[in-house]
Amino acid sequence: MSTQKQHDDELEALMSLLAESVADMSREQVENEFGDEPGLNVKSFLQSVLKEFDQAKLREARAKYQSATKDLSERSPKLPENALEQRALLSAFLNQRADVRSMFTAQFREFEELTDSDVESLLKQLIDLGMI
Amino acid sequence: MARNKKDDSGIAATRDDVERAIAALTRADEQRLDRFARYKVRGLGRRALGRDNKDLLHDALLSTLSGTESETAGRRWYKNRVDFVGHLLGAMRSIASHWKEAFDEKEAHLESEVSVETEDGEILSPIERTQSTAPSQERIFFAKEVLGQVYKLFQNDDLAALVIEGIRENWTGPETMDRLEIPKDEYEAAIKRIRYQVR
Repeated sequence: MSTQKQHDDELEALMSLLAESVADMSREQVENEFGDEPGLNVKSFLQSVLKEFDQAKLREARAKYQSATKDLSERSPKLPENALEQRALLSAFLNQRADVRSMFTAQFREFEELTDSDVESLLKQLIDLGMI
Repeated sequence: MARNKKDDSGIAATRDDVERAIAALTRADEQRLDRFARYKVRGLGRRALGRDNKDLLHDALLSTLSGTESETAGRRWYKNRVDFVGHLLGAMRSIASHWKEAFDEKEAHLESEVSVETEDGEILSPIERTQSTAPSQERIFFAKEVLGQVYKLFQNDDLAALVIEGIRENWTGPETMDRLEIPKDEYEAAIKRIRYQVR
């Protein structure tokens, strides 16, 4: 063992002994020996660490939420931009899904009667339901 | 009657328990935690790598808070086994020990990697080479200097000097009392005198 390490170990043994002696002192002994001495405001310091922990958790939760919503928007199919393409998409979907088509005709009767905004709204609902 | 072993002593504290425990700390608790942290960090010397008592307390609480949220990370406080102050003291012991081990491992690795052999066949470690060339040896000899100052303080206090001798021999408190035949009250009084001088 190097001399340097011996000194390090000896210093550690001495200070650890003193640290443990403080741990073992009664409350009255601590008050009598250290009561008037200035020291760290431990309560206030630990409260600031607690706040730091809460804020870090909040940041982490926010980052997770942002990542999840970003992921969702990246995964969701984009609606065609013009009304004609949207109507064509809905028509193609209904042709493939007879079960949905029957529900759809019961509700709306005629496909041609749907307004452009009805078409867009229906497509968005189908996307939200994960059907498209 | 045998005590039921399946009591709630194994239930870890929540974040709110920790917050309440912090709010309930007395001035004596604060002094105990602060003094303990200071002695532990001083004992680490250069191994503390510039960290102080606040860093040690900070890491102890952060580890505890992580433990309120995870089974695997951080350090759980079992509030029915130990009070909050006792838990933080234990956390600080563990963290200080980890800092020391990390430093020693790194230094051992560095020494084995970078030691050189002189023309005479002597192996020189980087630490030794640094000692011989560094413009300021203050940091290198930190431990030696502190120990020298402490021993000087007690050159006229036979009992404290004996207790320190026990520390140098790496004896525990009971071993020192036993081997040197020091009564417990005298041993504790000597420790108090050392503690009083080494703030």
